[in-house]
Amino acid sequence: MPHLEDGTLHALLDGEIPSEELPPIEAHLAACAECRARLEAERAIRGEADGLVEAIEAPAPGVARATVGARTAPAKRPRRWLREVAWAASVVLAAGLGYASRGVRPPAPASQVTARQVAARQVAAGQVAAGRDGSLPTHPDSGVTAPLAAAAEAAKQPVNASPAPANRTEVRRESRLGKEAPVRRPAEAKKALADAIDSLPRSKGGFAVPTERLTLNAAADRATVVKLRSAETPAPAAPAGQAAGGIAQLRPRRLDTTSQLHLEEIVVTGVPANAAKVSAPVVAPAAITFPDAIARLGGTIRLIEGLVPLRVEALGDRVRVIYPLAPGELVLEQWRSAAGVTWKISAPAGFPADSVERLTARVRE
Amino acid sequence: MTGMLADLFAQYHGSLVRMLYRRTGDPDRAEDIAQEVFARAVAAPPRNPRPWLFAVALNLVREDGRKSVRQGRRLVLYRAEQAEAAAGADEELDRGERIALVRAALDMLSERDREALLLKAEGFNYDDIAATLGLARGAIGTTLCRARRRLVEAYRAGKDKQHAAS
Repeated sequence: MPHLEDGTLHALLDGEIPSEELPPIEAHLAACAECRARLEAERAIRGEADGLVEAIEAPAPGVARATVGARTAPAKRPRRWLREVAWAASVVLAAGLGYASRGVRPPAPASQVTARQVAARQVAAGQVAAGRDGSLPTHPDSGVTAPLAAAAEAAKQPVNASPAPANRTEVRRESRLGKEAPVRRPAEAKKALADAIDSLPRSKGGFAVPTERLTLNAAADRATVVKLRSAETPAPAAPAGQAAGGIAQLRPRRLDTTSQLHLEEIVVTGVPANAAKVSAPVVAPAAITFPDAIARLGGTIRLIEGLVPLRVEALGDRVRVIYPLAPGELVLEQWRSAAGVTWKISAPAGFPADSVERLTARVRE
Repeated sequence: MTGMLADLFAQYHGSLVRMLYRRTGDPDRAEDIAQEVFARAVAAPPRNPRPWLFAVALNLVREDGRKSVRQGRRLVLYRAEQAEAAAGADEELDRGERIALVRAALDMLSERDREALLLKAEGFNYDDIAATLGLARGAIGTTLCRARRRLVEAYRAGKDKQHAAS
């Protein structure tokens, strides 16, 4: 047998030689010192090369950096890989609605200008306690309202990199497909919300699992997007504090379903304590799994197409599928009745009625 | 369909992003491209998923790279100073340098060699590498051999240059 080719040596090292082709190769190696030496040399190169490639993991932690407008040159220090970031506080993702679906240009009413108004509105609604000097509070762990204001500031000063506050973490991402337009009037905001719902993905058959979740934030007149993450790129660690302003708080959850929907989700809830009390039922609902819910409903469950549920609850004989809103939650309640399965959607006060209608239209089995 | 797509996502998203990050050097671009790839998978579920996903991804990288400025894309990042960052500053610089060297070395490879190497690093077997890149299976061993050798040579050369400069 002639000497072994380089490609063969590497295939051998990679374990890619079919078993029936091994014996003559091994026989040759046994008899040929030169090829044995080459094999060892290639083994070393392979090891070194693979090690180098694997070294490109998780870049070093980065310092605060703000890039607005066209992408600037990368920061001098490699920035920290997202998966290593401990997101202690809120994440506000501007309304880029980055579905990355071709041809879909969702409206993106990122209201940086009204961010301050939003926070102020929440203060007025009693959801957030204002400081004595009238300043909006910044919870040390979440810093929810401050990032909104900061975002507003940043939007006004495109060139300037806003200094990172000492103990807040926030990422604001605007998908390249999204456009920005400040929303100034409630009517526009309602329309934007309606458009956002309409632009949620639809499938021809079956049920589309979006790769990005739309979080409907009626109070802030904007729609925010949180991305699903797979188990391999885990969501940041659970935040310590509670969101003060009720925009977003992150918590990874594992969603159990009959099909293999094993995703670590970034769950966006925005329920400050007092708002939760308002809508909390007398009997606390119990969290259940999807298979359980399906069983309770007699073999089927309805979901809102295009949104990814937070969790499923059982309350008496009723099954509640919870979708995230900020603040509050959207509930698709369903139960077995004489007519089959009856369902209804409940949304927190202030959520536009026609948006509820649109969501209603998206309920599918 | 739900189950299949969710499965695909769970199985391959992390690997895809990692490969894209190694390929592009930009975590955000890697994430964006990965999202685009899965969005396309929703529209047209592939029969042979892994090669399809990665092939689409690599195509997107190539197409994308032709635009010199990425328009309309912004990232605003406010980041708290991490305690560890201060502590491991020197260490991080060296590691960062090393990564930069590897990346520079990777850039010296031909596109096909580089892609084959990155796919191998994601655990692809020869069949899948061949399917993803549109090569004959018999050529993969040779491709990887060449890629590995060139990477090591380029890396060593880069390191020597750096040491000579310092």
